[in-house]
Amino acid sequence: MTSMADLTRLHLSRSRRRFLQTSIAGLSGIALSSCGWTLAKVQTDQVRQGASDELHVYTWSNYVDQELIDAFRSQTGIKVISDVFDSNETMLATFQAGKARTYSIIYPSDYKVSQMVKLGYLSELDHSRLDGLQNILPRFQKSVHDSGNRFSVPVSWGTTGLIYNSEKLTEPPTDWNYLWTHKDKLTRRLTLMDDVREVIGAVLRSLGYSYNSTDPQQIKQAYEKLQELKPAITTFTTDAWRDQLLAGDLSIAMGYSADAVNVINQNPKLKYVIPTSGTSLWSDTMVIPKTAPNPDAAYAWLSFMLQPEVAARVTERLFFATPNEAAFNQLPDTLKNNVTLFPPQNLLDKAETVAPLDKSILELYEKYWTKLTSS
Amino acid sequence: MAQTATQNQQTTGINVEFDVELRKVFKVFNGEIVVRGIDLSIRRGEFFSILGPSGCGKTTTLRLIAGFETPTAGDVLIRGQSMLNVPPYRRPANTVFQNYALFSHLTVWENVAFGLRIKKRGKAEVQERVKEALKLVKMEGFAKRFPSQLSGGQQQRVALARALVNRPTVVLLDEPLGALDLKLRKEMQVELSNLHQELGVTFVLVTHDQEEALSLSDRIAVMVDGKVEQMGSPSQIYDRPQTPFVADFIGDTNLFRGRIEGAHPTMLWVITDKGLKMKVQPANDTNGLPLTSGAVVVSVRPEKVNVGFSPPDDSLNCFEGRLKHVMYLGTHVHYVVQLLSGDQITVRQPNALNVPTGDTPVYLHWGADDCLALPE
Amino acid sequence: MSTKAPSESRPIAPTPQWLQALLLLAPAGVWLALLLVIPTLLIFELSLVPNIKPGDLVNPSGLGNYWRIFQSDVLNVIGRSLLFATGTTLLCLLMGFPVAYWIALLSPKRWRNLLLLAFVLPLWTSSLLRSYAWISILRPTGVLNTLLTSLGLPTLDLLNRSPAVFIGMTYSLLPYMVLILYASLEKLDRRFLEAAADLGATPPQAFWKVTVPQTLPGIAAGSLLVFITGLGDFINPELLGGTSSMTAARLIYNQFLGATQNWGFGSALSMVLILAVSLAIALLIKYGDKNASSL
Repeated sequence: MTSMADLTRLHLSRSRRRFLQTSIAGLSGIALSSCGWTLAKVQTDQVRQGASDELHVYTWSNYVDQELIDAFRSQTGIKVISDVFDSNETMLATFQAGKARTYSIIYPSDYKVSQMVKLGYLSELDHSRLDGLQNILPRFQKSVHDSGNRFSVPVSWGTTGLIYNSEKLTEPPTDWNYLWTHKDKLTRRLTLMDDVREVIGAVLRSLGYSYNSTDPQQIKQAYEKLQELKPAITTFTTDAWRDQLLAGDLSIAMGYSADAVNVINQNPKLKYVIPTSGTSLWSDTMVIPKTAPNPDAAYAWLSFMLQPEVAARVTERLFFATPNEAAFNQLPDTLKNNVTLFPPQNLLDKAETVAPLDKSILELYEKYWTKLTSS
Repeated sequence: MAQTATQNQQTTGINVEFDVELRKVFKVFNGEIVVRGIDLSIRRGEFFSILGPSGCGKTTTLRLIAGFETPTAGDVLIRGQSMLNVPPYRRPANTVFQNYALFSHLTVWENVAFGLRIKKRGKAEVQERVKEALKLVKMEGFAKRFPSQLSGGQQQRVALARALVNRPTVVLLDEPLGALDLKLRKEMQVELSNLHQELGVTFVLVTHDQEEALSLSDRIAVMVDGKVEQMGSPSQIYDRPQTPFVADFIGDTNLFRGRIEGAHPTMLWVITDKGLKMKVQPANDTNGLPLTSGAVVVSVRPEKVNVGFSPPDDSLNCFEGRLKHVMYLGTHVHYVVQLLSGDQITVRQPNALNVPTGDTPVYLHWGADDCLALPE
Repeated sequence: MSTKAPSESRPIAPTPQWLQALLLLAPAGVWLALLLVIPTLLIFELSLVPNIKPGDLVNPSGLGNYWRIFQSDVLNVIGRSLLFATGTTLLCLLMGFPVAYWIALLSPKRWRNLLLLAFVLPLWTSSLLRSYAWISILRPTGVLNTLLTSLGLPTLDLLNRSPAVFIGMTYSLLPYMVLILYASLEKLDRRFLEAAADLGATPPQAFWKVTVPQTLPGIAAGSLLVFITGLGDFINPELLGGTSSMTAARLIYNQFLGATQNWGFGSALSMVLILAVSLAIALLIKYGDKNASSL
């Protein structure tokens, strides 16, 4: 005869089994039933209505300062709240996570714009609502990423080059190849950017190929040339070189012109050079996402930033080059003649924009980059 | 040659008859004197016990011999060699700890083999000696078990084997039977005694159980407050305690405080503080000189006290009292008698016939040779 | 005297044991299910779709992403992560054990808590801040080299090299190792050491034959904890490692936030890391010191 204890035990084990069975079934049910869901889909049909006198801006850390906000407010009465991101990838991830619904203005770089357009995140700009688009230099009106400025308005631009300490390098560099010819002298005193396209592109250029080569052989050559230089490179960094260059730990670094202006201001012995074999031309833009809660304020902001006086003042204060021709004319001579900010035309002609590439080619680039940084 | 040997012995003071010697050893912990200048000489092959209440310094003394403590002053010698600055791992002594301290991560076999392996003995030798040791303590079947799987008594025996297998000069036992129940303790005492006789190794046992010390030892040192009160054979300690403490600590006794009234070559007259007059056998003071005057404590063992119901003749010490309690203990009976003087006396008699009931007048008497006068 | 028979009185049904357990475990269980179990299942599902990126339909189709892991460049990266993690574990063990030993067995009792606190303090600062601090110490013109040159010694070029990564990682993880080892050593019965000495073992012998075996659970727990944490660290390798600093964690990051946006491969790589860590945790549970691992 079974005792109470035996019955309880039987009951427990049975119910435990049942519990486990139901929970496994439940969880796998959830998982399986979610088959066929779309990854990271951004709902662009649901727009949140925001306050009409507020504009949320998602931008880079040094693009929007208090003076700008105050000027905008006095002109339009709209209050600007700016949030900051440190990389285009972070910005895109935030957007895809659905966390960017409060922003009516975003500042992606040019190459990100084409990607966002393809993903359907951006609203097409109504040029009739924009004032001053014609002031934009033709080159930036016909950018390979957004010809005709259908989705974006360029707000700043620059180049990628070499920043070096003229005291340490008696023979100044003129081209990317300087790094290879002077490898011994530069060992452990040199950094390159932490960016696949920029670095591989620059090496491609030094070999005479296009920044945006799609030829696997050429890309392989660039990788091999980089491997040659690798022992001399201290590290890959996009902006951490600034402190080290100023401190004297580095003699030469690859960086953006905007960052170069920054350090040169602090130490006039530092100089910026655009390699003669060619470099990349980048620009940052302003866009209005489809999920913008306050498109009216967004257009007001765009028109505001296109005003020559505003653009000129911004360049003077924040030291990035403006694509606005009318604004350029208003600049003081010291800035106009600053070759770092505004390089001569002949060099600009040899500059390429980092263009969007096919996914399989991108994977090739990534693969070589991984190989480079893991060997 | 023999002559120079003895000369050396005399001049350097080495006496190889003693396995362990403590000379004027002091130990101070944090300003507290735990061992006060004790002298001990333990003979080879002896079963020596250090007996005393808790906190008397006996465990510290043992640890000084083992090497876990260093003397603040004085010297410890083993087989005539000074052990100053000799760490425990180089001393020819092995300890059986109070809590056994068997290595929980090793099997019984590995525990016992530990000391041999340290000395890098050959595999065959280790096998044989461990087997022998386990057989000695009757734990052969447990070789593969872990200490956690053993009972207290079994662990004790393994600890013993672990010490004995190294064939040390001296085996030190720190209250080894303390954690065992009474029956087991008695069994283990017998086993310890047998082992000692079989092996002939010097044993030094530390205990607070006077029965244990009395039954096992060749000689006992009674310690209290860091000093040795008395040292001698069990019968010496029991029958001839030299201080009231020893008399009281070892076995039961009745104590009377008083002073010597008269001294005679064959006997002493003592008047107790409560006015009783007693005849006591002659005694010596601590220096060995006969006691003739001064304060003394008279000690009478309960089993030496006789109970009568009528006054006996005058030759014995005899005092009247009333029977207060009777405790029947199987093999014997305990009486508590309140004398007219006010003293409470314990009497122990073999299980006898008619036990009187309470409050009857009884007469307690004992001979002069059945009591002792101890200097205060 | 008649008493009411037990079968006649109304039985009070106690709450069945399984229901009790369920109610107690439910809050934590739901939390874990939502934040751990379901996301892991989703990642697993994603990993089965080769070449997926945001905006695509999720349709599990194959193990293509997993085969990619066996390519040499990926294996290289995983190998590097393992190297950093293992090396850091060994360094933490070599440095942490003497310190824990000293605090637990040799230091004056009243100082112990203070000493342990001193070790825990660095954990209160942000780990990123600590990495940056190491940059300013190890730089060519940093604190260390300034000190060396003032003493007339040659400078050390440590930053942007593997040694700097080991320094940074060991520094971050040493407190955990010390705390766990301390917990284990503190419980060590001193009498074992006395018994060992009594049986003829010199201090080094007593250490290897008694102390180490007795604290093995603590050593296992500490090592596994440091290893698991080290495996996921990509900040120290990146900030301090120089050009050969690609770790598994960073590679995963690149798949999600880089140019290729290959979430499928990133998920597969994540599953591999999750598997490795789960294995380590299983070992930890089996061999680790139950009390110490609660740290």
